[in-house]
Amino acid sequence: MNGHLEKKLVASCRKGDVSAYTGLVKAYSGRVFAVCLGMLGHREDAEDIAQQALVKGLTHINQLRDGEQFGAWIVRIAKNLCIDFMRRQKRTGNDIFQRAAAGVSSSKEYPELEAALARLPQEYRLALVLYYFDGRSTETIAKTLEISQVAVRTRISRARKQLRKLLNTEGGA
Amino acid sequence: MEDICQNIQEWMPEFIAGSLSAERTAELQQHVDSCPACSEYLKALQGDDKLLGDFAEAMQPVVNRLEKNVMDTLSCTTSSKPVSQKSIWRIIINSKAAKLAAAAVLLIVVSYAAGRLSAPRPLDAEELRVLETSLKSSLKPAIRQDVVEELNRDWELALARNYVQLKDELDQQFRCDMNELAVRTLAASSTVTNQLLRELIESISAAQMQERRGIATALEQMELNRLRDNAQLKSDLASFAVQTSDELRRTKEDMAQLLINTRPNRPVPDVSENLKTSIERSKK
Repeated sequence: MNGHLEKKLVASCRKGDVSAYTGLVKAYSGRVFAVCLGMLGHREDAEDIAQQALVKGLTHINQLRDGEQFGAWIVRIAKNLCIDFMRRQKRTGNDIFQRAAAGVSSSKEYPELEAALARLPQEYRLALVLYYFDGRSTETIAKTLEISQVAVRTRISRARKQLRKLLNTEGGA
Repeated sequence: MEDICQNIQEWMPEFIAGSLSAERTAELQQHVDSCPACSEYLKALQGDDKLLGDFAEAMQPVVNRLEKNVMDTLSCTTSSKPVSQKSIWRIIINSKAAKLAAAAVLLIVVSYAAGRLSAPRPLDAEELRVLETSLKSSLKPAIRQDVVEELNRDWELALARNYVQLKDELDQQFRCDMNELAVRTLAASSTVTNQLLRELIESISAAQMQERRGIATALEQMELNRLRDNAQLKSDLASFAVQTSDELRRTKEDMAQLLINTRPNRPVPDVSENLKTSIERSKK
């Protein structure tokens, strides 16, 4: 999204214009969902947390500092909510990674792929999911994850290799 | 051979992403053409790439639903009623601070009970009061701060929601007022315009009436003048006719006299006498 337009939308949201937030939601919902899916590895949970993050984005819009990009800020909110969610799940004994390891997936169309994605290490899954959900640009992923482009490429390569192994295992199982 | 395959397979993810150098790409393609295992692995990775791309596309409806849910939630939240006094109390009751306060009370009660049960003699009331005071003093600032922070957060949220609603209401009220004002102004201006038109029509009618009266008077005067002129002309013509008739008769008499006088054997009449008579008559 154009930086100037983004600033205008953020300013309108700060003045209480909810309709202006629609533009921001449309621009960043895919990325926020990908971040949540990459971190949690579970589609329904990712959808819930992404929704919470986007709602929180408007209700806490006044906490966005001047000059700070909305995209980076909303991704940070989503990441924090995912971390909180995982902690809560761990406390209640409903560990998301245990579920992933057990291959629990609600997907009807891509059950094997989703189960394999859920078993990937979080940092690899996050980079891989963002790559396919957010325009296949390593530059954008590097900005979103606040790491170098080389690191992004390395993570994606490793994610592909591990995913292949997992799909081979599950396909053969 | 295995080392070469391992190297080539290391490059494959970058090859799929399109970020492998031209030199390595050529080497990879050359190797894949001659190695069935690497060729199969590359095909599998390319299949994964397609699968992941399809998966991301299949998730688009989920993202669309997410957008809709977010906007629905926000519109419901912003259009909800302002936070009432009752809900504030509910917030306070549900807040961490309230839980802390309850825990403090419980702690005091438990401490009191434990003291009563464990001590050889019942605790002095003064000691209990001191214990209560110390507990209260240690917990009070934390509780107060928590209450203040939580209330601030809730107020901020409520104000943000109310602001949007209030803005919409004021906007709607302003539009209604402007419409009403426009209708009133139009009605008033229409009345004034009608009044002015009536006055204009009346003044035009009065002017026309006055003009008609003037024309009628002038016509009457002209008629009177015409009648008077006719009468004058008639009388003048009558007197002229009388005079003409008299003159004609006298001329006839003069002619007859002249004929008589001009006959032979008759004495010549005295012409000077006749002339004298004519002059006298004309003088008359």
